[in-house]
Amino acid sequence: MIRLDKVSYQIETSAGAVQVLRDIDLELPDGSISAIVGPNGSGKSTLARLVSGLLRPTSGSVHLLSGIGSLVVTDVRPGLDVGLVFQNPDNQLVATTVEDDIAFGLENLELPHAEMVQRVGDALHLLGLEQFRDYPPHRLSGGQKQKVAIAGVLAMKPSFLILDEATSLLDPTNRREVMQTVLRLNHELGIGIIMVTHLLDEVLVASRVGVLTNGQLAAWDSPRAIFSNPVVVKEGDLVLPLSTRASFLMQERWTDFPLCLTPEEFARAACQLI
Amino acid sequence: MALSRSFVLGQHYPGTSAVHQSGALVKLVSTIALMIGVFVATKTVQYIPIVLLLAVGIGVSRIPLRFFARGLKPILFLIVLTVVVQVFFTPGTVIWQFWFVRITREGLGLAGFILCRLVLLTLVSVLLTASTSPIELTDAVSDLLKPLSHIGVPSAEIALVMSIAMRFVPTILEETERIIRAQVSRGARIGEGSLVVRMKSFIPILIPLFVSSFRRADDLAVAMEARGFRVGSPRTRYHARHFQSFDAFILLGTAAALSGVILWRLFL
Repeated sequence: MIRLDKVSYQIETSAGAVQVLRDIDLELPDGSISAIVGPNGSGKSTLARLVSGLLRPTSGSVHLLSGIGSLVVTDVRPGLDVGLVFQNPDNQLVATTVEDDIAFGLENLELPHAEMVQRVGDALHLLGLEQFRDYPPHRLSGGQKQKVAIAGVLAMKPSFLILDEATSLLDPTNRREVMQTVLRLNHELGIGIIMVTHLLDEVLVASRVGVLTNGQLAAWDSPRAIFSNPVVVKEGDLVLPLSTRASFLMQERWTDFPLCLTPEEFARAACQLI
Repeated sequence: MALSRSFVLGQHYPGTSAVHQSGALVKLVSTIALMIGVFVATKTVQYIPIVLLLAVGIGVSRIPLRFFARGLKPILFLIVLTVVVQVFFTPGTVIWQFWFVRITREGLGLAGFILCRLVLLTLVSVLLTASTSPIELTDAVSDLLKPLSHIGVPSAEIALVMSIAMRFVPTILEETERIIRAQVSRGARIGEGSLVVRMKSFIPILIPLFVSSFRRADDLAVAMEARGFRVGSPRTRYHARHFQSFDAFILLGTAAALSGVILWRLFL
């Protein structure tokens, strides 16, 4: 489990100190799917970097709680326990072939050669990238590149995977493919997923959604509870999924019309109404 | 993609030949030695040992000759210019003259010598880069520079920087093409007009290219750190290989060719 205790982060600028995050308390259970949403500049990516150990909080602490005890996340090598996948796949692939890129993190962990070969093969298999093993990254589609990035992180066997707007530059088909892959990893390997996103359709799979506004956690609840709270929706500047917006419109006419998160739910509710 | 396809020098031509499978460090050392040999020679005929070894290397590599021919393309202008200058401006015994233009025996000899020198240097480099993957090549550079790490030269980091540079060449070329298309679609005229105008027309391409490259570099640094990379920290290698019999053949062949050139120059 990852636990954030009163985490604050501030940066120094020429105009003085800027508080990016303030007193964030969070618990992210092992194997769970969580999401962080919020408007641009709300501190989502900073929170992702704090959780992954890339940044050190100005105050408070981020702890990894496991069977062997509690560890401060910055004491652990980034990538080892919490993997981070970024927005632009082009800017995170380091090596000249898919295989070598997946091995990059393992080389940093100083793993023996045989184990690297094993882990690279496993990651390629898991992500369905075997046929692209020798491909240079620039010959892959956006979705395939993002899968390579995920494979590179996954080979390091983290217990959590953070997707920092990882699908926002992809077309709908590639986005769906990457999301299905991530969900499969969660289901099959029990890897905890933390999605940092502004695409609310994606957070529906999360058990918990955190809404960040001005560096503070305005809400931490289930997607249904978040979407049905007009104050949080307004504060978080959230653009709700189409089905949810449509169900709000229906509620203006039929007050008992249920809150729908997906097109399937909406269709079912509409059929019952008819 | 048109830009990225036009450069053969530095491009890997995947294969399973003995040349492909031999050690990158061995090939790198051999290439450097042959290049030294090319510069040691003072007469065209002294290139024979190098030409023979290179011919064997190209033959064994099973890389098509047209690939090597394409490798010569970028330096064709340099070759023609050098040859023309040597042919027409080298003083000596005149063998043909028309008005003030004259060709000398010495000019022809020097032009042939320099032509061979440029072609050999290019072919040796193309054979190295075509038969060696970039990652193996950078590992070889790292190995070659390793002794310098004792005096503070960051050999591993230099190799990594080279590898990343090679990784991003196609990406930056694609980015350049994208920016050119964007600027042209907004009415920019790239490469038209006088030299000054043409040079000025590249400014709207270079500025966004630099900005995006710096952004990329920043993102990449964070991504590398997120995957456990630390400057100066020890790393293991994914591509582990051992010395093979063909490596010995390459080294012996190179030593023979280099010795041949030196002996020819000294005693014949």
